[in-house]
Amino acid sequence: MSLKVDFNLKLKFSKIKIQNQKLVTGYNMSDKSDNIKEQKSIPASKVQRASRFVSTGVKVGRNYVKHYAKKAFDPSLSKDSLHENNAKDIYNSLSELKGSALKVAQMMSMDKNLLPSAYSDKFQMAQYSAPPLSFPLVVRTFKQQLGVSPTEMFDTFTKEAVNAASIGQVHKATKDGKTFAVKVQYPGVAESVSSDLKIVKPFAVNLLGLNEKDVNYYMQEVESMLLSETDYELELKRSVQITEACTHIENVYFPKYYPEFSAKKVLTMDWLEGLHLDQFMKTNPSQEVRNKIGQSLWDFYDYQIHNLREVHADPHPGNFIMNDNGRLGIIDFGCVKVIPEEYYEPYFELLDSRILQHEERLEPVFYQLGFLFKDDTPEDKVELKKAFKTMIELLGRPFNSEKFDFGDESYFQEIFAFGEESSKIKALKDSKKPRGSRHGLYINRTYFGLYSILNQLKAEIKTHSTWFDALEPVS
Amino acid sequence: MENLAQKIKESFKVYITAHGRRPKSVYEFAENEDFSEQEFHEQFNSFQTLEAEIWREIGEKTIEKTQAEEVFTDYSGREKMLSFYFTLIEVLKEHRSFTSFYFRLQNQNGKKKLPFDRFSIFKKFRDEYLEFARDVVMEASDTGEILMRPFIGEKYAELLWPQTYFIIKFWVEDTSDSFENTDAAIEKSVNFSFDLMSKTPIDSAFDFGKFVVQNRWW
Repeated sequence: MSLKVDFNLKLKFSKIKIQNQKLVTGYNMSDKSDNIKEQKSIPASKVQRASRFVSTGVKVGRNYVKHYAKKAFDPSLSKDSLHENNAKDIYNSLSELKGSALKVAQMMSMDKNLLPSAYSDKFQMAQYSAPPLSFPLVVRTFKQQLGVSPTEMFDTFTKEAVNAASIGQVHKATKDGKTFAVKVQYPGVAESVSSDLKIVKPFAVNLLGLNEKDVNYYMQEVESMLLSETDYELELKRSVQITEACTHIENVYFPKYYPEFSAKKVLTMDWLEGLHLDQFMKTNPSQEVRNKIGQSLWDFYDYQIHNLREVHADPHPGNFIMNDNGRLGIIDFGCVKVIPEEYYEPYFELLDSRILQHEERLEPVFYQLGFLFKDDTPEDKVELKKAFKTMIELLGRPFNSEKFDFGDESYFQEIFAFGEESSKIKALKDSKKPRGSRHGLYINRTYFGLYSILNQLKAEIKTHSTWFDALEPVS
Repeated sequence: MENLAQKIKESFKVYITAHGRRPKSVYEFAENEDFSEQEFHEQFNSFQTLEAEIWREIGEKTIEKTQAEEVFTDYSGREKMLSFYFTLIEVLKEHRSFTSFYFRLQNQNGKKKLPFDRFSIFKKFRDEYLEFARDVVMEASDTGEILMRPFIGEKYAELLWPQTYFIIKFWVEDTSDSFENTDAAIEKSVNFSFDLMSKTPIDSAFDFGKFVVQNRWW
């Protein structure tokens, strides 16, 4: 008996030894030298993140196989179901990544014309939901940033997030009879922005059919915008600035921001009562109310772009809160694009339909905006000019009439059709250089977002722009 | 007497922080302090017992602070564990250099290894942890959050312990702003371990397999 016990003990002991050896070699590997440590830690997480995308790639591939297998038996099967499957898998892995990848998903869902509709529908969900942070982590972030736990700071504080923002989540809190929305940022977002984008890049190249150079050129813009979004202190400053400058706009209201309850990763503002776009539409608001909201939205954007030259560049439905009395609450000034003078002038000049008809005036503007380059072949120039002219005519159309009905589906069909078509234009596809200034990325996204919301509102509004007031007649 | 023990502990932490090594002898350690070698030995019989006591205290302090949190009683098991690790890092932050000494390998005769037996130094800390973890596991299994499996179910707390090493080691090497990556590491590793403890497809597979075998269905 005692022998047996002894044997067992020995066995246990030798196991521990083996374990220890393993531990030691494990440490050896990670501790080779101090100066490579920093580099080492980044690729490690990058590999993890990359493997996420690889597994998505595999899934997408499998969806294709499944699709064609099904199609062999059922020729009537459309590609829609395939796109839907792919979108689901892509979305799932993106939402696990959170942060910037989710942001990219959002951006892709904004530009509906860039993605097949099944993708964009699924991606639009990203605007509302992402897996939540645990409450202990929220408590920790609070303690780290503000020195107290949220339950100490407020009278009540919801344990669960009530809403997910792309790089954080929102909790509802009360104190002294007031209700607050408290945004808490996911940890490590700022750090992961760059590495996430590097991973998204090849993905974007394939999915959107762009070449790598284009993507690089624009990714820099995206990166700097995303990084500024991770700074809640900056967001607080901008929110206060812009909301103060916009108080005179009719029917628009903003939350008050509370610097004393905010820090780099925590942002506290008033809780706005009201509904998001899709819920609001379910209440069957009257045409009058919808027009009123649409008009406020339009005026708000017009004032920012032409008077402030800084614009809330994130017009996704989650950032607007609508009331049945036709008032519009606007939140989230994390993504603000400052419009540089050298871009502003030529870009809005194009909105003047009279210039669009003048070939000799149009060409220099195209060069300025990077639509055309001096070394393009004459044939390419003709093709590109035609494409860009169509695009500008389309996007500028609302500006060129007194009133515009955004509920008009045929206008949007035309835009989507153009998007499909332009992806087939040879000169554009084989372009060695990116076309269009990078500043246009967020400006266009802003207009797309704005149009898309107005479309969903089915609003008919006066598309008056202060820009036209300052216009000199074209000789 | 209690005060003297406390003072020795503090001095020892300062010594490790300043020198990055253990004192060569109790004599050397006591030389620049206002206690004698003999007084040291009245409190602790060796550096190892002293270190074990310091780490036990860290564990105790962490658990106290974790449980003092107002919402602690409302937490699920997973959240309790998360809260423990976040607090642990908070507590260790006051002694980062001291902590890293116990997690950095050192060159000894051309070989890299820890210059001490970490297992015994951490033993008392581990005991504190296990007591806490067993409570958490018990509660979590009562609420059905995790699944008590035969044999390994009793060992959940012990199986959770190595996670503590991982998290501290990760933090010691973390270079991110305000150790954000450590926060993510904690969140992910705790989620992983709790997912393993809750019902997984393997449980259903096992259950199904057992059923098939018991019914001799092949």
